[in-house]
Amino acid sequence: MADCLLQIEDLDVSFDVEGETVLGVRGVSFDVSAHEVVAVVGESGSGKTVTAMSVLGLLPHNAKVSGSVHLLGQEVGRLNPAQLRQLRRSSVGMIFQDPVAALNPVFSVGFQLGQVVRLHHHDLSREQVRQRVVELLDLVEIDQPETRLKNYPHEFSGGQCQRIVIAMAIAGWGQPTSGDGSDPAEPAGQPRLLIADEPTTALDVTVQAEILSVLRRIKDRLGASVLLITHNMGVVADLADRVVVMRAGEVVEINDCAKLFAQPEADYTKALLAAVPKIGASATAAPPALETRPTVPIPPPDGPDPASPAPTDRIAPTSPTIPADRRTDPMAPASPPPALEVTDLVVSYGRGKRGRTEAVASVSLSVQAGEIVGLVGESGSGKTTLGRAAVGLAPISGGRVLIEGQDLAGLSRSRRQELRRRVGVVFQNPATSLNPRYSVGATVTEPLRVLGGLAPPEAQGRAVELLRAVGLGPDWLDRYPHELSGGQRQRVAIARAVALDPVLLIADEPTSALDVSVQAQVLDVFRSLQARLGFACLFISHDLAVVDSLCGRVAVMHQGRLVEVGPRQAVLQRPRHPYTRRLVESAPIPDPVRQRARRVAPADPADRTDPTRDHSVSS
Amino acid sequence: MARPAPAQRTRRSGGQRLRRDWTFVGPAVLIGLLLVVALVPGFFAGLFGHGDPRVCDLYSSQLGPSAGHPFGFDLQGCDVWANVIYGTQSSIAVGLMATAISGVIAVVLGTLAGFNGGWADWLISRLTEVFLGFPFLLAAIVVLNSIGQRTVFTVAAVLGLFGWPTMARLVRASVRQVRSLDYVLAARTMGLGVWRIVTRYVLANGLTPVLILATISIGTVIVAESSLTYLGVGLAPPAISWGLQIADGSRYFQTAPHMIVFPSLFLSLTVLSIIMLGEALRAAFDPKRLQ
Repeated sequence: MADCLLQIEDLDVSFDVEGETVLGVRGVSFDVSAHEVVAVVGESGSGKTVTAMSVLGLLPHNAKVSGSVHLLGQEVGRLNPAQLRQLRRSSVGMIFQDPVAALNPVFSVGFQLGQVVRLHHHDLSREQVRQRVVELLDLVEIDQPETRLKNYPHEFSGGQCQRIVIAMAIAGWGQPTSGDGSDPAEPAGQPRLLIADEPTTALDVTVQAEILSVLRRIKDRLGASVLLITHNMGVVADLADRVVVMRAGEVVEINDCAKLFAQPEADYTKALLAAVPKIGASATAAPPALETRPTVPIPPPDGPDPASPAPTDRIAPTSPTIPADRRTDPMAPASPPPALEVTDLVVSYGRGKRGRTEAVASVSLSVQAGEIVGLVGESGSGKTTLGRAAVGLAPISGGRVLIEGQDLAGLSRSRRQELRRRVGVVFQNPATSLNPRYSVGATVTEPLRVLGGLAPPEAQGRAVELLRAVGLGPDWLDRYPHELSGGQRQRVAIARAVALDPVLLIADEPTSALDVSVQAQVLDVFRSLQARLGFACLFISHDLAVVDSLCGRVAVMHQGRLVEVGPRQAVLQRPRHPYTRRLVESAPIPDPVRQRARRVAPADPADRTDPTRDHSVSS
Repeated sequence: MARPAPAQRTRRSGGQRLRRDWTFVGPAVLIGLLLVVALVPGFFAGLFGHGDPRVCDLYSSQLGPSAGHPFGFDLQGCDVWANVIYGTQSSIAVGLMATAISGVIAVVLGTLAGFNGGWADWLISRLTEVFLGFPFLLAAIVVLNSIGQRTVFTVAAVLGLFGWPTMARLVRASVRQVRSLDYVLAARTMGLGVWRIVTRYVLANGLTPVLILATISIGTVIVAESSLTYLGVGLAPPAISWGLQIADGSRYFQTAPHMIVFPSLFLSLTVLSIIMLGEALRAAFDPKRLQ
């Protein structure tokens, strides 16, 4: 008990949603010892956030809780609100997923941190509070903390905001090794718990790597325990000592981190690990889908519909009902023109000299017929804009976009519309990319009827074929998008995109909103469809591992420019451009041993954290 | 990540939830009844007595409720019950017509402004602001005063022509919001026509809040019509309306209160149930509750 910081025993949480009882978590038991990092992993809806919230007593009012949560020897459920607050502020800190939303935009960062500090140490003078805030910012490795105190959250990047959120989470804990004697500092080694709920999910990989190392250093310096909630196995491998795997509200496996990755015990863990795409894994061996599911009475949040046939049913590469001459362009000689050719493309937004920003600056890229090209980059690199420009949805201010050798810009409105039909698009968020008023059938048949000119019964038949090709049976035709899970929606979106047998498919992060196991299935569907229909594809993603498993060539974008293009293996195994190298090195590997080895010999990401800087706080 | 429940959540649609909600069912039943009354006033007017609002007998002037005449008689000795029943027709007709007129204008202009943006948006937005800057009732009074013949149609047309700006703003905002969603983008990349995108994608998904506002505006229009009629610029005597009855009755409130109480009661009940209905609809289709 002495070294046991957090003890959860047989925790049951259920929610009362408009008179119906919905199960949150069931029979969850695990503990967190001092100085330990315990990761709770699971896919969305597995109950990991509910578990964390019950530790802090932050569940919504409609929650019914049974079982016990002991935090620092105190039963959380028995505390009154004041005691709970006292416990939270003195020894628990919480880090949220979206750092920008977690900070109040109308107050300066220094003021917000100062408020928290003052809350815990009423007797500090203004100057002492300021000092403490500077110390905190320094602790989370923000450069020049004195001058940045007055800045507002929007003046920081996402990664910096997350550092500030971390600083805020630990602001209430006494000073670590303070030189200032006036502070009522708790003795060193006071048990404390940091709860991090998906702390890096909203961040780019390079920033994620920095935040993870900040977290690790803070934990070491303050001697805190961390309860890490994540779905990212790479993050787990990087940080965790022990791992709790959750599924559908229940704990599936609790294991040592190294052991979990080396010899997972539960079937679900094995399937989960297999579904995680890895850089360097052979592209031909597709990860097995999560077919073997443990017998849990709760229906899975997502997964293949047992009633629907496997996605290996045949579909004619070119349906007879679609005019066959679409492929034969009048001016196509022996070698067909590339499906997509972008030359010196410039896309800029804003007007005037000052407000003009170039989202895409002079990019040239081509996608040959039948080829999958991965377009990789972090948020704001212009990859989505490039994809949009390819279908004429972005203002082109310079350069040309050719689809099958034809320039979108030089065509009449009707020809342009026609050319667009040869390009399918799959969007990132399946929740918003389907018209909520259309049934699945209407969604898939619409392009066939309206643009392909098929009669309703023929369109219906073809839609059934297409849905079968993406692994959904004909009984899905009458469902509406809100009745589908994320993975199922994305399948429908893919079926719609390939309905007119496009020459080019632009897939904009089609799997990044999905859980790993679902992602693996959707990628399988995608791969087999591409093999059968032979469309060219521009696959936009931030996930190097996904790109590695799918694409033949990879293009890397950084700040609107293409920094490297080449065959997949060359770019990902032997990156030439420093930015690509950094990107590859930041991607967390779902393997604790390799991750640790990489951490020992770090290739320092030089431009954001100064390697020469001394991080020690005690002056 | 904040999804609390792993189990399959049964999401009830707004429509399903409405059917269990008495704040919706109550007003809906009442309005249904009033609509029937407006369609076949003769049947309801004849329930108790002769039921003809234009058969008057000056001997009965201002007499209170009696057998066969549950609401009594007005100044001219006409049956108040029959008048109130027939008044339902014109009030509801004005409310529906004016709202339909302003709704059509609002949807057309709001969609043009919201979907296209650019100069059309600028022009329509300024036009909306000009109309909004004009007091609704004042404008209606000025225009109605200059019209010679004031019938149900002219009153409804005038109220409709001045009532669209608020709704147009809502349409514009709603269209703008839906326009940038992925599924509209997807429709555009597919090469679908603009008409199809606007009707099947944008309006189909963006019109719910507008319909709710329109419901509430029926109530407002009925009140406006009564006010205008009371002021003498609304419907004129050959027409039968609650506003006219209230105007007549107001002078004899102390001696014969039944002349003003019954039409007022009907007016308030109608408007109240329409507005309650609108509120119930709004609550049921609130995006926060639909999450």
